[in-house]
Amino acid sequence: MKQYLRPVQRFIYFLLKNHAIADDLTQEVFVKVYKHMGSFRNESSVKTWIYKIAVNEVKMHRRSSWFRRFILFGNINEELAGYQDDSEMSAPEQEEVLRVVLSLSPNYREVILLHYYQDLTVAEVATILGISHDAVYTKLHRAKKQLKERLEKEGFAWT
Amino acid sequence: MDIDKLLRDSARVVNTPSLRQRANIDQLEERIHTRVMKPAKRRQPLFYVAVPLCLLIAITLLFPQGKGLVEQTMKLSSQASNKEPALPSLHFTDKESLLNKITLENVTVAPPYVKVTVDLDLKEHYWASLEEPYLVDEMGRKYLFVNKEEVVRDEKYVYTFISQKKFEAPPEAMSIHIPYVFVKKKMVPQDVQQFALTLNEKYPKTVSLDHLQLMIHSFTYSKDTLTLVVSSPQMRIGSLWLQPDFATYDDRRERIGTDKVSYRYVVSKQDSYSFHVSPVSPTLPEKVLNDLQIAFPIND
Repeated sequence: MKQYLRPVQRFIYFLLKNHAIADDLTQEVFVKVYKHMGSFRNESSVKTWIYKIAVNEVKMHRRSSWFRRFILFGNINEELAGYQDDSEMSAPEQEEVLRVVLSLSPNYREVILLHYYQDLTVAEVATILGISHDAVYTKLHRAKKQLKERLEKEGFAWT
Repeated sequence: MDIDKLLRDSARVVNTPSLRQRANIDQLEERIHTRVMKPAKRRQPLFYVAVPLCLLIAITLLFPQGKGLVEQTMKLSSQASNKEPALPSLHFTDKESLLNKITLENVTVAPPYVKVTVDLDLKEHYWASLEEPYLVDEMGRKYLFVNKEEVVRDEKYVYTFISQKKFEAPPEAMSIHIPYVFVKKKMVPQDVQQFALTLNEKYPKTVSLDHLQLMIHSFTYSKDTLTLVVSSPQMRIGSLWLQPDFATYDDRRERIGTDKVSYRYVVSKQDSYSFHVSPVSPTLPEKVLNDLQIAFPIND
């Protein structure tokens, strides 16, 4: 279970852009995972199950008034600056990519993070988000299109 | 540049934790572990009797001419269920007392309940009514006795109460409270007074009896039902019933406001009806009157 801890924490952080909240929600996710391990029915992989719990925790948090008051109006650059302190990114491009990914709408950011950053298949993403494979493909396509457009504005060129 | 490759490269870098991030994850793991391993709050045993249990027994005695408070403390060991504990008996040597003795028998403290038997030895011509006791633990939580049995044995009134089974905590001390023992003189011919009413009289009218005055507000007959409405400005207490219909008056009584009572009887129509009335103590608390369903205001 430990191998999922950091990926889930990073996933939540990239969705919410707040270290403290990401840590708190990760705790909640894994407490639930441990407590409900007995009722896990093997209908999906453990990894998918954990991410599903994480997505639900984030959704619940987004619905909270605390999130609406402080995060939606929070300073994204400040959060990214926090990330840069930890950064082992060698290339400024990679840093810029992440920055643009984090600027996507939560809907698109979610699929990009799950598919590319958490290395989950389209089928797994579909299970986690409770949507069809086609819907995942559509979201990925649109997210990447938006990402490309934004990166182009930053001077990226495509082959 | 390929967008997919760009994203995967970015992910690889992002997913490689720094030392500080590793430390952070270790702390996070520890916090989760602490929370998960925290023992769940266990349900307390239903009742715990391994320690000596101190039972404080408080009884309020209510007599027709007043009331008294009697308290006794009894200590029971955990073997109380097997051995006969020293039973508290309250003897009444006062010649004026209506009670010869109250004995608490078979106070059994054993899972899953507490059982207590109250034996009332009354003077001749008296009867008693006992409100169901309850238990209170040291935290002030109240437990009811759910099972009540009442028998008359050798002309003594014997009440057995069995407590509820679930106790929230292991109490070290509990009190048995018997809210009241109401002692009342049995009906003897001289206590019962008789009066008659006819339908063709005009109401309201006053009926004067020995030490008793009744205000009859209305006395009507309709749809096979006789209805009597009576009151008293002085709120003395008594019982009233139609002769010979002795036993069922309780079901037909209804209070109207604070001082009137309506009685209804399904009887055949006749010219005159005979009633019996009996006064009881004016000092009884309202609670007793309500519980015993004898609340009936009449004049002295």
